[in-house]
This record gives sequence, C-alpha cells and structure tokens, in this order.
Amino acid sequence: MARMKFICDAERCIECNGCVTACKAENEVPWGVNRRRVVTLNDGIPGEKSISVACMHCSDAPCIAVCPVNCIYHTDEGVVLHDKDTCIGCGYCSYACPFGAPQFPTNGAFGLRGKMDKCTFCAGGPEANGSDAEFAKYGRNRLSEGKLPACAEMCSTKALLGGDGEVIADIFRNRVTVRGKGSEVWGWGTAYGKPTQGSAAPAKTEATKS
Amino acid sequence: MSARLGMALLAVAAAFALSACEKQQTMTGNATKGDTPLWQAGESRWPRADKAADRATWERQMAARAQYQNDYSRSGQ
Repeated sequence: MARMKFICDAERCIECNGCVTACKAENEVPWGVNRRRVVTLNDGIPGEKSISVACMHCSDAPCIAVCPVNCIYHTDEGVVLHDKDTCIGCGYCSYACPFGAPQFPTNGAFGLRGKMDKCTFCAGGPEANGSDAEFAKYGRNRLSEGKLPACAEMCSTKALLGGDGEVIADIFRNRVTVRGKGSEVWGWGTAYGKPTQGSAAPAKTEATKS
Repeated sequence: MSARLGMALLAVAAAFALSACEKQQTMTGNATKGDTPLWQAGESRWPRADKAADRATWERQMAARAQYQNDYSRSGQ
C-alpha cells in the first residue's frame, strides 16, 4: 500500500505560489486560510531557497497524538485527515504541528462552527467520496478520482512532488544524482548540521544521501 | 530498624505501582467515522481518471500519475 507524501525540491522552487493558488482554487479554501504556503529562507540574499509547506502527512503525526476528541486519523494510504463533525476546535493540533498545517478559519463555509482546517492531500474527509457534503467541508477529493493533489500536479517546475513516498523519493533521488547536489537542503545536514558545524559529526565524503 | 522497614515497604509499593508500566498500551476504539477507501468511486461531479473503481486499477493509476512528475523519464534522460 502506498504511503502518500510530499517532497519539495528547494533547488527547483521559484516561489511562484502556484501551488498555493491551485490549492485554494481546487478546494475553495476561504479567506484567512492557506493550507499551503511558500516559505523563503534568506529572502533577498543571493542563493535564497524557497520551499512549499503544508501538512506533511506524518507517519507518526503529533496532531493525532494530541487531539483530545480523536478526530484526526490516517487513511490506509497514510493521508492524515480530520473529521470536522467531531472536531471541537481546541487548536491543540495547531500547536503540536511543526509545520503550522492545521489552522483556524475565521469565516466562510469552513469556519462557521469554528473547526480546524488543514491540507487533506486532496483526499476529502470521512463523508462519501466526491459528495457535496465532503466538498463543502474539506474540498475536492482528487485521490478518489485517481488524481494526485492539485498543488503537486500543477507545479510548473515540478519542485513539489506528491504521491507514493517511494515513487517520489526515487524521482528526487534521481534528480540529486544527475545534478550532483540538492539533497543537503532537506537532508541530514539541514537537520543535524554539516560536519564542519558539529564537533561530534564524523568526517564524510561527498555524498547525496538524504 | 523502622526506617529500613519503611524503605522496604516503599520499594514494594513502588514496584507494585510501576508494574502496569510494563504492559504495552494500545488505544482501542476510534471516535472518528470510518472513511470510505479512496479507490471506491463516489458520485463525484468530476470524472475519474482511472475509469474504474477497483483497488488494483486505482493503484496503477496513482503510480502512473506520480511518474508524470518525473521529467527525467519524460525527456528520456
């Protein structure tokens, strides 16, 4: 069974915000909520990097762990979804999420009852696949139509990859191998420091391991 | 002597109190509604890309769709 994941290739992202626009349009996300955002590091400095960030559909999701009413769940494909009928809008998931994915809508169709809103990987919610009720609460269920999330499918530079984690990891790995760099942006060096930054880090040869 | 006895009783009580921590704890029950599998067709207003509603076809479609993102395979590199 596939485990659905997103990867954003910072070497390709041109900060066009097309993914943000696609998400908002596809799911009719109201004003005040951006399920996806583009974050730029070292903005304005030559060599700046941008990454598109939304719910990363964590395998061990902290939002699921902290939800007091157990309304956030995994689908069989590893997509993290939530049930707005059960959600009490406490906001714990928002605090627990390291990516700021769950958000509080303040108005519009999504926010009338103060429910949290988050990226659904274009997989809707607990309602019947493709139903009007599902669309009104969660947006479009593209996965049930055999399609991938709109943000990834329309990315013009294919910086944002979405789909089965193994498949998109292969695509990303191939890119890194061909161009000879890029894995360090998302990889070990970003998370734990490059060998020169830490005294305990072992000396490494040039590698593209993420 | 009484202090030693007290310590022994405290150790026994602590061992008893912590004994439950040895057991693996799993969450049972789920407050959420059961979600329909994604490969099952719904009455969507949009057309399905896979033209079918069985799991194998859906998974093949998703794998093919994911490969559309691989511009190296499209350009033959």
